[in-house]
Amino acid sequence: MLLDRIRQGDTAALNQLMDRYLPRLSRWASGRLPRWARDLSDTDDLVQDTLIRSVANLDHFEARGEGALQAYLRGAVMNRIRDEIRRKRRLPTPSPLDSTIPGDGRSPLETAIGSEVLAKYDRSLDRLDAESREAVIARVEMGCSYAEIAEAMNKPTADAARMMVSRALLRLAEEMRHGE
Amino acid sequence: MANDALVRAAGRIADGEVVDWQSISSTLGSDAEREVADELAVISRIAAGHRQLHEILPVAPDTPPNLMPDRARWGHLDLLNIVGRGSYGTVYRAWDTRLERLVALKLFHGAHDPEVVMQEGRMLARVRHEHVVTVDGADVVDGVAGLWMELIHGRTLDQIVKDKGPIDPREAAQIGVDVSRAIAAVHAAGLLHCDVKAQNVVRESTGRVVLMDLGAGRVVPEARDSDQLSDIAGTPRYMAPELFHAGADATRATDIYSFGVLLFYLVSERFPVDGKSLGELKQAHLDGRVTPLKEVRANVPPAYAAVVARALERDPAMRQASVEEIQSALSPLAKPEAKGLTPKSIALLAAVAVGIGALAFTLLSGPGAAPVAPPGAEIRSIAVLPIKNLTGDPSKAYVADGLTEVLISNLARVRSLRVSSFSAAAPVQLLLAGSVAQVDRKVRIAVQLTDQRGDILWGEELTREPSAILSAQAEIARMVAARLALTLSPVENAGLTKSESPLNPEAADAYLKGLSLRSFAPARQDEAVSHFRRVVEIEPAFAPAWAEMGYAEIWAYSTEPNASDRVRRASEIKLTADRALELDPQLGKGYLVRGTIEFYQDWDFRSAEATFRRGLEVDPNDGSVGQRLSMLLAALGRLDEAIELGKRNQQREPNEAFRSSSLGILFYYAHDYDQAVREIQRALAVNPAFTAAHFMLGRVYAAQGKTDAALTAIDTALATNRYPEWLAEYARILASDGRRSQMQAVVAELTDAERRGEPSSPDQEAYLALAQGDRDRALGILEASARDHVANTLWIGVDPRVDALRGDPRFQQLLVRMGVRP
Repeated sequence: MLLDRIRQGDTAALNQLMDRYLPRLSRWASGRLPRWARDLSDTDDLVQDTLIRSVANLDHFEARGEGALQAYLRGAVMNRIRDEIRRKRRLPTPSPLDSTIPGDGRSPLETAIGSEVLAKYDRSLDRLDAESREAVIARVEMGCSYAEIAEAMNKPTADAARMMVSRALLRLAEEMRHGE
Repeated sequence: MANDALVRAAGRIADGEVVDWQSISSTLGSDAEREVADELAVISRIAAGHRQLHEILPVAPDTPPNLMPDRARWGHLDLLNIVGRGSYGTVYRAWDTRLERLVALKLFHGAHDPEVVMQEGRMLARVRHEHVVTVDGADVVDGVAGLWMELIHGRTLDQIVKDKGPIDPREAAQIGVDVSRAIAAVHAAGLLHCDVKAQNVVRESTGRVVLMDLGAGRVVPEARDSDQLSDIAGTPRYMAPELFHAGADATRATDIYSFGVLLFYLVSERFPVDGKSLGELKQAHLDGRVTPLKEVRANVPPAYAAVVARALERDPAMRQASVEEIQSALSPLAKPEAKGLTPKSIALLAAVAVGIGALAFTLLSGPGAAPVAPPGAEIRSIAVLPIKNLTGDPSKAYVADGLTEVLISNLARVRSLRVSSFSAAAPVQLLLAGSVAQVDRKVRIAVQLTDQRGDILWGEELTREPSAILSAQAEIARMVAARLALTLSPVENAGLTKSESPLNPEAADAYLKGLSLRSFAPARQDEAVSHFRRVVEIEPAFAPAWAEMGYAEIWAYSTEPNASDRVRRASEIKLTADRALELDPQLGKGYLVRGTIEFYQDWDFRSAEATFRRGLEVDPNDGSVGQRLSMLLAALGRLDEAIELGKRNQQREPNEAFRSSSLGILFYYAHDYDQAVREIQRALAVNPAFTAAHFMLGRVYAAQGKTDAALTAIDTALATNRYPEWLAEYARILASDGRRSQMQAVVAELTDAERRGEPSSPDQEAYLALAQGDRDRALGILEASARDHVANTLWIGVDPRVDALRGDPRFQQLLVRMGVRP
């Protein structure tokens, strides 16, 4: 498996992993990184850097498969984005009483969907069982095809992967309904 | 057991399809099921948002080449990663170190004669067409032949059909028109494509359809009859029957046949002649077993089916004589609104826009109700999504950011449009999305306008010289107005005309850099100022740069601790604003800047009010002017007027957290605390990341005597930033509650922060003194602050924290001296 080869220091395997995950995660991250936090570090750089660092820590990663790996990498990028936001918040802002400098700290996805809604979705996703979470991340967030999901998550056919994703979405909706 | 309808809905969400929530909710028996359906609706919008990231406005998945370990090199190209493999060789994403841009590089395996590849490369480089991938060059390095070409971002038609199923015939006809123009260009250059198939046509995010993989087709894969077709890239299914005979050569007629298969596949996801293996496929051709299109897709227009049938004729002589013939037959079938726009990404964009529209509807009318059409209001709200940077060069993000700002300000010149930010809290009627890319030395800007239902109203691609990219935004504003049948008044026209004159490219570039920093990097306003200064050095008559420069300079002014330096900065800013207004009296931002200095620094309230009102007159869309005027009225004690205006500001821009929090502050000044809390909480609902709102909430709670709630709120704000102003308020609340030791700790931190030079306002100490009961000291500090024209002192006439001084005649005299009371 790819991970084993990377652990053995196989650069080609590492490149392969980058090819597979970098473009998707970069597009995903561009939805999660607020514009104001973006001017200092470009999204792609941030994702690439995070991937290289995460790969260095893969020894501690008990991979059940590529679906799990993708969810793990997404989590790493998410944490990195949160760090970035915290770091950059420490910039001076003008007097809050009457300023015209925009103070909107939302990411494009938060803007499009609503911060509260997205936060609730994220929390509910975290509470799902691993397989459902990986399925939702792969299909909804990363835009993987059913065939890719079937391969990554050991499902016999694309149809089986589609069934798994549908059920996972329903579970997620139920989780969101129960709320916190 | 989950309801079947819910399972199906989840499946449709997974497929990226639109879900008919109304018909689903009618089948649901329990409240619990309906609640799950509501959450599924939320998930479908989240899914649509992500699809937007991946499909409609993709970030170029380009990475600067310096991070990839152990990279390889071929000639002047740095190989970044493999993007595709085929029997002919391997395709890499590569960095062109000479032209400094990303390209696609195809390296051929050793079996190919390098000379043949070179010769072909030279011919391919001659084909220049909008719908054909541009080949930049060919070379042989260390015996390996390669071609490098434009890097295309998008999805192949094959991916689109596999993912979404058959395409609507009208849309397929439009794609067919573009592809036929592309093939015609290849044929006109004396070449054949030889590998026309769905995997070789890419639809870019902008809707541009691009024919790829020129030259590869000459190398027909060496396959055995027993090979499973699924193992061979799509090619054999697209091969004309005559090519199955030994020694047969490709011709224009074989390209036309392949094109016919492509048109067949697009609307049916099937092939006219098929088989499990190459042998079966051959046999099917020999037997003449051809599936008519009508058999697999019933509702295809007869004219479309006729074009396909003729292209698939077994006898090459019976097929269309040229691709142009196919083009003219397909044109009338293409989408009717196709004239001059790029309708190809309609389905994708629509899917997302529907998501947005549906969300708006859920929030407005509650789940389960019938969708409502957007109100036929005179004024239409339009949101501009950030323009995407598709230049492939991340360092050019400022171009996209700056253009977004320019586009917004041009649209704002159209009075009957209300340009607003875009969020879930309030629906917008129109949505404008765009991207910017570099094509040779020119800039290509693509925009699409959708309505609330997700229908594409209009789309356009403009390719301009760098000197004209700013004026292109005014053109776009005009086109949007024309598409909405809005008549422009002479004033609106004049405003747009001013924006349409070409600008020196260096000045345009500096202006975009400045705008991007001014809008998105609060801490880098000084840099923004220096970019704007560069602009006016080159183009002294460009009014917006003067106004933006003044606007960005306000930052340094408001954080300047030294009173005399503040005076100097203020007079410079006023000159800058005057210069802008001299050049363009219709520039709302010029009035905003001038009025701000008259208000904050000159304390010339009468002039400031007149300036702000003039600003609102020329640019009713600029919420900042209304905001500042409301704060001026509050300072003058005209709270009813201020609140009236604050409400209007909020109504106009419900998605701006700042409008709601300001209204909250106005209620706070009016001592209407319940209302104040409601408005500030509304601001937090719009944008929970707006931490300053917690600070304001703390002040209101303190005024209500809810000390613990006040401390908690300010703690929340302090968790993100330890501003002196926030610390001072924290200390004040502790002091008024008699918690001396805690207060002293905070005061110590405050003193430290001030010693480090963090901007703070001297009036803060007065509120602290007052909380400790020292009225004389408080009054003394306020009098000194007023003498220095410290802007924060302006509201002491209404600030509840100063209520203890109201009965003191010395305080009343101070207000009169300041000019805030008659």
